[in-house]
Amino acid sequence: MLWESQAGFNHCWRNPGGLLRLAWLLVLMSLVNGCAFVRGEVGEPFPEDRLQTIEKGTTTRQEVAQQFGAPDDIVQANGHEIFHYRRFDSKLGWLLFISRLNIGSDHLWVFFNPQGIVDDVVFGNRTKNVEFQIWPFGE
Amino acid sequence: MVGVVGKAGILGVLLLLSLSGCDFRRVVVNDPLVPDSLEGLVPGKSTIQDVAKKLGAPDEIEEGADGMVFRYRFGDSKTMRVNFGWILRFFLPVAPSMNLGRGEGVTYILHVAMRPDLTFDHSVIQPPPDPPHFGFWPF
Repeated sequence: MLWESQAGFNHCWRNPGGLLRLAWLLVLMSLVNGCAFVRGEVGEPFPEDRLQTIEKGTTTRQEVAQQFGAPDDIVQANGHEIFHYRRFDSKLGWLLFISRLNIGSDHLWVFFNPQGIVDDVVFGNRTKNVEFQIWPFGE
Repeated sequence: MVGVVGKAGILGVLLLLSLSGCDFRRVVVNDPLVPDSLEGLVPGKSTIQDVAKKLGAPDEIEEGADGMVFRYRFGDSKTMRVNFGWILRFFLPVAPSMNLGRGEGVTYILHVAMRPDLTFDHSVIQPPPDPPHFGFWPF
C-alpha cells in the first residue's frame, strides 16, 4: 500500500498536468461555498387517526380542542364558527450559487354549527408534495 | 502544452469561480393553481367536500356578502445577486462586498365563493401572471 502511494506521488510529480489539475481542485474546493439542505417545520402534523375522530353532527367544539389543541385562528363566517389549524413545511436545497426553497402548508378547517357541534371538516395536505430541490430555473 | 480537455477544465473552473460571485435564489409557496381543476363544480350542487377534493383546503376563509369565500394562494419569487467584489479576493487580502441584486415575486390567487348552505357558487381566478425573472440590475 505504501509502495502504491509512493508510486502515485512520484507519478504526480513527474506529470505536471496532473499536479495542475490537483492544484485547481484544491483552489476550487477552498473557494466554493459548498451545499446545504435545510428543513423547517412549523406546527404539528395532522395524523390520520386523529382526523378520523372528528365526526359531523357528533363531535363537539371541546372534543376537537382536546384532540388538536387551541386553534391558530377562529373565523366567524355565515353563522359558522370555524376553527383553523395550520402547519408549514419548508425544504431548502442550496448548491454553490443556486438555491430553491419550497414551502407547503396544511390546513384543517372545522366548521361548527351554533350549538357547537361539528358541521363540516375540510383538510388539505400539501406538505406531502414539498420536495428538496436545488435547480431554481424553469417552471 | 495543455490539451483540449485541460482547456475545457480550466474554462469550467474559471466559469464556476466567476459564478460564485452570483446568487440565484427561488422561493416557491404551495402548488401552482390550475384553472382546469375547477371544471366539474356545479353551482348550488357541488359541496364543500367536492371543492376540497379538487383544490384542497383553502389558505383562508372569509365571510362574503352572501355566504363565504375560500381563498387559495400560490407564490413564486426569484432573486439574483452579483457580488462584483468577489473577484477581488484573488488580488486583495480582504474581499469587499459590492452587491447588486433584484428580486421579483408573483402571487396567484383563486377565490371560490360558497353559498350559505355551503355549496359552490362561483369562482374567480386571476389571469396567470408573468413568471418572475432573474435579474440583478436594481435601477
